[in-house]
Amino acid sequence: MSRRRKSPRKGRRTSAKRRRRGSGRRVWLKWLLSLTVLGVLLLGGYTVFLAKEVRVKFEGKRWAVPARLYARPLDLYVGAPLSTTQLVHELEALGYRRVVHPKAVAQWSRNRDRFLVRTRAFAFWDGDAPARFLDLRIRDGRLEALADADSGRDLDLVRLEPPAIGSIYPAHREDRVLVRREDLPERLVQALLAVEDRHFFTHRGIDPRGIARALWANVRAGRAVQGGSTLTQQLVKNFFLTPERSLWRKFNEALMALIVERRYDKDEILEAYANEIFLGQDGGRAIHGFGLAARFYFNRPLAELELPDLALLVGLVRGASYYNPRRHPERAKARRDRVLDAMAEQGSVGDDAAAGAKAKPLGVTPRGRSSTDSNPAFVELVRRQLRRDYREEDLTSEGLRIFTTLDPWVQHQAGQALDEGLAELARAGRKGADRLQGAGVVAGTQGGEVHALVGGRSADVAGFNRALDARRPIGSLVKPAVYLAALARPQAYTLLTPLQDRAVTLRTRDGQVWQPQNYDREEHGEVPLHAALARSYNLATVRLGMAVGLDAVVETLHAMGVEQEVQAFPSLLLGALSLSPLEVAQVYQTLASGGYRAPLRAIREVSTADGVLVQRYPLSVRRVLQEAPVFLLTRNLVEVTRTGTGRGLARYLDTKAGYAGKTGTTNDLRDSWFAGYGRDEVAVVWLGRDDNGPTGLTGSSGALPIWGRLMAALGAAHLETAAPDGVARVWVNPATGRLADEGCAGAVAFPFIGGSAPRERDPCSGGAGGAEPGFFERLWR
Amino acid sequence: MRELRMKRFLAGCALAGLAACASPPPRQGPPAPVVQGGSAAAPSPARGAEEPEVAAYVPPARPQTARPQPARAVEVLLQRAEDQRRAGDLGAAAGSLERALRIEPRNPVLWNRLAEVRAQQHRHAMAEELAAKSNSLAGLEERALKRRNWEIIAVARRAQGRSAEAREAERKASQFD
Repeated sequence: MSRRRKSPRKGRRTSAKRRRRGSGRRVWLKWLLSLTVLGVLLLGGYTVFLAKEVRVKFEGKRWAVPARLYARPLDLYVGAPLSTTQLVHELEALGYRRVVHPKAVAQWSRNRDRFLVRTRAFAFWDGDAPARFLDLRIRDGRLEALADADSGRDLDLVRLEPPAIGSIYPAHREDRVLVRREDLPERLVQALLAVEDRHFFTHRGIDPRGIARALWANVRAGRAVQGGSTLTQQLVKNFFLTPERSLWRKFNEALMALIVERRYDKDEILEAYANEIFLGQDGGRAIHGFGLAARFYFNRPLAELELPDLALLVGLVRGASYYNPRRHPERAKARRDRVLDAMAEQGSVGDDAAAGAKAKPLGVTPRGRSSTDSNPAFVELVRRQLRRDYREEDLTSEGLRIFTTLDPWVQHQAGQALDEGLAELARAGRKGADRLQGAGVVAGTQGGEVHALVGGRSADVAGFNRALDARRPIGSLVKPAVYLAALARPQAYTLLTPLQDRAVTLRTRDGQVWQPQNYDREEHGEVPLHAALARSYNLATVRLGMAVGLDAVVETLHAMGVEQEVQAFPSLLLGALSLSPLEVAQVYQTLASGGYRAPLRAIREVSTADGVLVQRYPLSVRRVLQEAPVFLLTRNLVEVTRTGTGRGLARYLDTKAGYAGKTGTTNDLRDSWFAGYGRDEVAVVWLGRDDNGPTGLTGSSGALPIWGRLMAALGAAHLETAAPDGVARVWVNPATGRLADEGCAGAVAFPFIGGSAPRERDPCSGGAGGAEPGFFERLWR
Repeated sequence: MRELRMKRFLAGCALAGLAACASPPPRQGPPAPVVQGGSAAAPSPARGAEEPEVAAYVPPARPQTARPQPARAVEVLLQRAEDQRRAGDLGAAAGSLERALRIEPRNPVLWNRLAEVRAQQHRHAMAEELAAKSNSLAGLEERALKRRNWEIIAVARRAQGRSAEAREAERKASQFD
């Protein structure tokens, strides 16, 4: 501090001496003295003020480090479902590079079905996963062998590091990955000093030689080609000052640079610089610091970058957008090579090394290939769930690590299924297909983890997250709730109960008349309950719902996970209820898990930047529905995909094996829905227009093919058939609704809830077979 | 004949003591000729005139007769969870069990162990639901597991002051003795 005060004072004294010699007048002297004293005082005070500001910035919260989001880590074990395509996708998402012989960390090689992978270490909240050298073999979509490649020893279970999928940066949209001084590669520092500040380690904040050199270069070139600012000045400029260009700012900059140098050592300044410097723009997000820049341009951590990569990053300091390697690769390469030349000139690298580096391609990843921030819809869901528990500033500044449930492979497949489905509709010449939008959700059936969330077409950058925010009438997707309310009364309703699919007229509370119609505008007469749902008959459903009672249906919907208030109007029975795709996924998750609702979760754990656990979001379930009626309903929804409105699924899946699903279509074909589940995945697809115009699509012509494509791509397992306690499968003759024998022509085994099976025997079943149903029933009780 | 086959089947189950009995016996002969298969024709919703009048649930031709052996990875995680639980690190134990459940979401033993951990943490409401979930996935013959789940439920209900329901759970537990 004292030195800084001295030097300006010295300057003024000399000038005062000169003037005294010139004039010799006492009055002048007095004035000058007072002015000088005043000036010195002001300057001193100002310096003290600035010094304090510097200290606050440096020692308080130096950088806002946004919370970093990770996808789920991939568990590797023998038997794990894993295709070679998926493994390659996972390795690429992690920024691992394919080589011939993996020698360094984050490299892999492949020989057909065999992979050798050198993994990075990762500190999980429940323990460190060390770096490993893995030997994997894949066969028929499964991991067949997993061993340590060095020792050849079999491994039981290995967790890959989780891919980074985004961050929650603050309103001013600065994003960064913090690096410490000791983690800065020496080559990076050499490159930085070579082109930005040769005398960094010797100057005291301002470098007169550097200024002189820059001046000379600029005079020679006739324009500003070099800056004389030291790294310290550049840091101060970025750190404290506004971008205005003025002498006053230049003065402040110099003064603060001196203060910073006085207070902090070179390593601290270098670390601050390396984290603060602006190195790129990604849409609305500013890329600050070398740590994030390494991720952003190369999808690798800084420590893994090599000489040409580091030189490229240093080259960006001069103008991140002018030298943007993705947009202006030639400029970027020229700038990188100049950095390498400067390093060679100063002897920090040999000429050969520089030449070798200059021969390398730029090596930046194409945009969007790095997984960072390529899942905006899912990140938004995480953000909303986090906001319930954290303050915004903690999320945007504390460097929290958020471990999410996102499965990058499922997400990739879901996005692709939607894009391809929409493209197919466009090819088929659907009117207005270009204005069609969509959304999708995939979650785990038992645990409720959200694996993927698609908020719209991939090309759509507007950011409207339809999976969360498009609340649309769900149409026939509501029907399972109606049938479930009925099946929960086994003494009154079974899958075989005859329903009347005949015209019905209802009077609403305000006296209006409501006359629903079937989609085909016909009446189908008497139909068994299961067929009415499988074919989505409106009239039978409305009659059933009115008989069961609207309140029972509303109650069922709430049990299934609908949180909003539901109006008990008759039109509810045909889907006059608006839900987002995510909310629909919750409703169907409850069915998929046999009535155990698991709140859909996007987050598993939150830890601090150093890996200390802050919070877990535990797996929790709640039994909200009786298992037996849910089992019957699921069987009925399997019928939908086998022979009902969802039978088109057979083009994509082996529907005989058993997938439950339901189509949904709304008035004037505005919304096209499909929701359903296999054993492990529940998925929902919605198609519609943002302006809510007609799409010309039904649930089965629009959303169904996308759902089928997606589930097929995921290799989704079909449902298991084990019935819960109290459900018996009984052979019946569906034509008569009476008991039959397995051998009877046309006999079908239907599940019945204890005691609700028919007692009358069909003539075909007689004599010896008579004991059969009782036997089955006993077995299943 | 059929009786005999059933008896042999049941005896086999008893011997194996496996999840085998959780599914119906394999049916002999061709499946009932009911399902027309999913027609691959372009979907025409809600117009099912060409459909057979009768079509409902048909068990798959070859029902799964045994729960597959748990993956080795799941055994490792189960053991790890048990070690963590014994060491008093219940949070980590729950974490290991949840990880195992991601590998085998329908393994009733895992749900039961998670219920045990939650009970030990005095998170009774959670423990009760998890034990019920385990029961819903457990096969008929997994009697010891069901008894244990009902015991957890009984304790959890009592701790939540629902003694009548707790007694009911105890009665259910005793049915599996």
